[in-house]
Amino acid sequence: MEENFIPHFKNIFENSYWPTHYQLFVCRNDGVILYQNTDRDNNLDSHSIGALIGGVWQAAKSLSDFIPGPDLKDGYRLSFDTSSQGVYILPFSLNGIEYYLGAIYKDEKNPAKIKNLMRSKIFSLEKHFSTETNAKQLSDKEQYLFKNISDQEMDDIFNIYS
Amino acid sequence: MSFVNYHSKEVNCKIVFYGPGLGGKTTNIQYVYQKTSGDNKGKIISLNTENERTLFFDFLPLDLGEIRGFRTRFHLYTVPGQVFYEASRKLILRGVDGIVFVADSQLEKMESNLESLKSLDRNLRELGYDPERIPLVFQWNKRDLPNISPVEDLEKQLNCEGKPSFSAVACEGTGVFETLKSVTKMVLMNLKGGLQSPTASR
Repeated sequence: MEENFIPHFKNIFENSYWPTHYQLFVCRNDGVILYQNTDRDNNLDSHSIGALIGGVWQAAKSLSDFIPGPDLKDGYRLSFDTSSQGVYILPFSLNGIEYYLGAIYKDEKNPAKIKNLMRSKIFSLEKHFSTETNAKQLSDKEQYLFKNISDQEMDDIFNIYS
Repeated sequence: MSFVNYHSKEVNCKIVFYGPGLGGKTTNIQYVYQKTSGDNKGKIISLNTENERTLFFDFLPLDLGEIRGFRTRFHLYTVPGQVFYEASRKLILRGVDGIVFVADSQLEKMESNLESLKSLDRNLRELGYDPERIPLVFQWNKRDLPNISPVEDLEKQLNCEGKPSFSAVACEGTGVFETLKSVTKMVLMNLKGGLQSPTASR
């Protein structure tokens, strides 16, 4: 199902103004990267970035439970920055599942402008998916992807260690 | 929860190494890291305290080979073992596809093993998982030390359901890949989705 989101991420984040010094990542709450705007598709370091975005968000969210008063969880965003470089994470929700848009940037004269652009793009994404019917996407989820994996097949995927 | 991308033909799965403090969880993934060539691994991330104890998690992304045309990517995480990091352990279990329980074989660690196993069960249930349906493999680590429980005792006290288990000396690499291969196979066979792309089949 989530693979169907990826073209929309591309449309929204690539067909608009983004400074080239911004690295954008969309990841799930378990850290799996669904989209990145860099060309480093095979670079496993982006997986580490996803794990850290997911981890830092969830840790911050747990900390926020200690804030006294009414629950304002929906309004949070996370910023770790100086005036010109940093990390910015925004949560958003598609089909009731939480995802994060993370940006890593440097040499930025006006970070607020880009943060605002990120928020507006998230708003567009959520609006788009709130109007699209997605129930059909669950079609054959109950089938197992691989049946009867043999020991030989396991040896093959582990042969990088032989 | 795994991620199957039919367009790029790859699967991403999350494996968590769980267990009591100083049991060898980090040593397991450090050994895997050392033995993996540069193209097949990403940077190992360790969020540690000053004395090298895991504070939040260790993370290692692995790019294994292909199976039936799908590229397999595994995200290996360890949890902090110390008792007071319970909240962090629960966060890291979110989205888990398979678990390696690294038990410390030393006789005096049996209580810690049991406590950690109970915490695993509790955290999984609180996250909405059925612990009996999550692929789980046991590793009896530190088999090279003198004062250790017999494997039969470990099986009896910790593995009453007869899940796969492996003896290990993780610091020497013994049993590390056997354990990883076993949990990996269980995770792959537990993946749901069907071999055909849902979009292509409509």
